[in-house]
Amino acid sequence: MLSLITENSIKETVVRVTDRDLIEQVKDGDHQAFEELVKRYEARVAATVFGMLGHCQTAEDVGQEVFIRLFKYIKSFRDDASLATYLTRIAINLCLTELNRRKRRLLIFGGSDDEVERVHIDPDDTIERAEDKKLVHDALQELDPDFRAVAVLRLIEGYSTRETAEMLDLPLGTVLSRLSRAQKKLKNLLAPYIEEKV
Amino acid sequence: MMTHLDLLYRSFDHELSGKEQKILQDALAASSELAAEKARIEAVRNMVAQAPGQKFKPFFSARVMRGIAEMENRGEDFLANLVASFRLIFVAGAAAVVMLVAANAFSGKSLSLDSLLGLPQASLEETWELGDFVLEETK
Repeated sequence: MLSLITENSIKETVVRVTDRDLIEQVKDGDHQAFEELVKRYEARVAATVFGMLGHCQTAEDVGQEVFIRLFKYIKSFRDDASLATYLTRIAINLCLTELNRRKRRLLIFGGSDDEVERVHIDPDDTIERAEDKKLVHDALQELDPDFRAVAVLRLIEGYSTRETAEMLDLPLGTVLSRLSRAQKKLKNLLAPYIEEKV
Repeated sequence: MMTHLDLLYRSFDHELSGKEQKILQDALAASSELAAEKARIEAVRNMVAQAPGQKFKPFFSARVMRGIAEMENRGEDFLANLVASFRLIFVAGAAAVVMLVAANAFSGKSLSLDSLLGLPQASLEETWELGDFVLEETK
């Protein structure tokens, strides 16, 4: 009974700790606080890097690199910024660098981009949901990286067009036009499947 | 000229003016094709929005922490190597200076600073004479 109460109170304490508190603890050298931050934001970073790079080992590596960069530069992290936005910005920049690297490699060595696994099945998903995920991810990989970045931030992460523009350091008009084109392409790729389902 | 379809696409991500909203609503009411297109776009956007849920492989946070530990160790190793290398260079340099000073002291048979450092001992007059010699030669 006592252990249950203690466990619950520990859980409540953990929930109450804000990102800002954890960041201060990390700045004081607390590695456990940093691990807690990683656990809080890994799903968000995963959505960005898998959306941008598809399912591959590189996406895992980029995900790790995002958090390692956060750790390196956490002392210069400003309190007024949102950690989620900061991490997404790092993730998008690292993904764009990785996609440029892939493009250069394909130009030099030719062949196809075999790093991306075209089929990925999450054991927790139903067959239909797994199929939907696969279709969406395959469709995203068909977009040009610049258009994909806009689509991931706006359509998957749910940032506003203004936030997306700030994150990518682009004029709002460019974001809107890229989004419109990305949306048209996604519709062409996914609508037949949706109509078939209906 | 913006078409109704462009207006429809814009309406998902950008706030339309009152006039534009009215135009779009009228167009949607008049065209079943445009209404169907709107439904298609909504379905695609929902499908894309619901697609995430992709996870990193298990023990991701542990792997990140291991990466950080390795990075820190690399940094410490670099610093330790730098200090060790510098110490060796410092000891070797100091030994060379001591040997040079000792050699000068024995060969010059004098303990003056110039002698120890191996500098020639020239007086001020000698320096002037050397200057005159150079001037005469150039004439």
